[in-house]
Amino acid sequence: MKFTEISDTIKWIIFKGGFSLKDENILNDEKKEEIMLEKASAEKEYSNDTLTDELESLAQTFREELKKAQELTDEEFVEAYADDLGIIPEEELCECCGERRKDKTRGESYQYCSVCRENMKAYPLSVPNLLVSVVLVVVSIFSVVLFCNDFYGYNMMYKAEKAEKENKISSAIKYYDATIDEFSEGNITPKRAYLYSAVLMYETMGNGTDTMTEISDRIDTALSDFAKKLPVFSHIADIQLESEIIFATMQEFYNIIGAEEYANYTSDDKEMYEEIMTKIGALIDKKVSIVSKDGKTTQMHPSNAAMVRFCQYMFAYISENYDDSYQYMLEVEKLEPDYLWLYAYELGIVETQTGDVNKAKELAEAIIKKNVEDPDGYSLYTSVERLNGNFEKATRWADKGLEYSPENAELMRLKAMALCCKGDFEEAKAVIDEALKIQEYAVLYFTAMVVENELGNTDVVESYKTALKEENVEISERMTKYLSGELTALQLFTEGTGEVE
Amino acid sequence: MTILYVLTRIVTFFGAVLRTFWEHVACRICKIPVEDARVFKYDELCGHVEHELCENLKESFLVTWLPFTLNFLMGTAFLLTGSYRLFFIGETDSLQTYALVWLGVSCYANCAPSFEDMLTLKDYIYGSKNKVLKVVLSPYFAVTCGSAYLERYSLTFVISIVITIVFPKVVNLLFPVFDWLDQMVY
Repeated sequence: MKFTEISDTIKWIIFKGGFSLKDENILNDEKKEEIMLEKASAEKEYSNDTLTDELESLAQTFREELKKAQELTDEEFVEAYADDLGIIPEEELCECCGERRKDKTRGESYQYCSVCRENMKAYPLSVPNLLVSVVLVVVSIFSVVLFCNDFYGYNMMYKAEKAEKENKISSAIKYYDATIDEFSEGNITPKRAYLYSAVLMYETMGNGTDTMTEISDRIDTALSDFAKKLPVFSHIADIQLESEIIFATMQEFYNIIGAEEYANYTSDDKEMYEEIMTKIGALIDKKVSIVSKDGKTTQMHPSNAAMVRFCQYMFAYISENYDDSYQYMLEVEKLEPDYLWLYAYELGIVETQTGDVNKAKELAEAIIKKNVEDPDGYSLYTSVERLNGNFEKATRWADKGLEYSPENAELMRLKAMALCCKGDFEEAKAVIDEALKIQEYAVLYFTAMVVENELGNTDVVESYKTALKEENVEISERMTKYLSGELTALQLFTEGTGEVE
Repeated sequence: MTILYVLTRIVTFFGAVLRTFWEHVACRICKIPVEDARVFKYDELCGHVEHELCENLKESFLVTWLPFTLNFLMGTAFLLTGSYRLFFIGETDSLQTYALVWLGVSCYANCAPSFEDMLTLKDYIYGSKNKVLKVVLSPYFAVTCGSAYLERYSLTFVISIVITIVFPKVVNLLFPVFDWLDQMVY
């Protein structure tokens, strides 16, 4: 019989006995106990002896258990009586709440109770993380919108790089310019576009002296003074310096020929010609001044020798001293063979007219190799083939050039000349009329006069003569010979210089 | 390596926060118990959510795929402007450009799942008897596995910088397609 059962029995006995320990009428303790025992034994059929034995046994058990419990350590005590006491060992406690038992159904090493596990499934999202994520999503959408807005500029830059790879330098520069214009509206500086276009412009010098200043400006926009000193950009700094020196050399040349003392110079004045030519030649040993952008510093650099020779070529040409001009142009080629933009076309024309067709072809090939869109190369090829009597080839070269430069009046003129040589005067007229819509200059009118004359349109020829007279342009000697009948159109275009002047 | 790993997470702070957030969202969707959702902790789970092992392939796939894809997409969005402006057209004066580049690098450097998640995914894919599933998911797993390994040694940070530099060259390959679409539309 367990201790609790015995205590319950005793309580029942007391209840059933109807005694209240606080009742003053109750008999003394010994008598009370005797009566209780009598009643209990009567109700439960326990004898006194049996009940006494039971109580003694119960007390003995209690003493033994107490002794055992006193011998146990705290941990052993908890372990032995944990269930009775409702205590969970520490290693069994959930590592999250520390209150409930670990859920062993998920494995012996599982660390959490089932309640905490359920709560962990709904672990709240961190508010700072959420805010950061929302902000970044908005920024990413903004970035995509910016890209779409700038896409035209990027596309132009992409086309520029593609054209550059295909040696279409004119198109590449045009696309770089479009990139710069597009981004300048948004106050964005596309430095790569500035830099690459400057390099291409230096290699082709499309617009002469304007190009030289533009090159310098673009390099200044792209690179800081510090960046120009870095080894990776040293060649860019050299390009800038070279273009500034070329420009400064040209300025010195203009200063010489613009001097008041030479205001009345004519090509007949041989003495003055020599004097001016000597002064121009002396620039080779002279230093030119390069002023910094802020105007604070001036540096002296030797002038560009090839440019000096080119200036001498120009002066000799306008003085109609063609032998000298040819020699100076050869000097330019020797000094700076890479400066195709400076000498290749003019030298090629001279070589064509003097008979060195192979040299002219080499120069034409070099021009086209450098820039497949350069009309000068196609013009040279057209002229070479025409002078060689290959009129069909000449027409095809002109057509090829016009594919890249559809509004090049000079190419159209050369094509018209080749068509005249073939006898296709109607087609030549269509071409030359188109050219006159684009541009008007003396040799174009001369060529048009030849075409109209061959078609019998004398009134048109007269109108052209009148127009030229109004502009104080004299009919060239070769044209006069043609118009007087001394030369046929074929002779005009294929013999001697092969030109209308 | 842990210190290098943690430092990389700190440098690519925003990417780590984003990835942790997306992983947490994936765990919530799949009702995977989350033990620790802090972003920064000094162990190999820095920048990841500490959670119970996934119980099936779907859970494992979502937990690895969602953060990877979202961080990749957002990184791409940032680099569309950042990388193009800095490396394609050379715009070096704007703070906005550098910020977008940094965000893009951060996102790309924090695409990879944790090593444990990668191993779990591997078990589910290659433990399955479905051969079609293995074939279809193998490329995805290859990318996930490779990136998880690289992230262990903080190489994803270096690779993300390289990707940022060549990003315009790669996207430029799509420009002819955009031109064609433009012509079709207009």
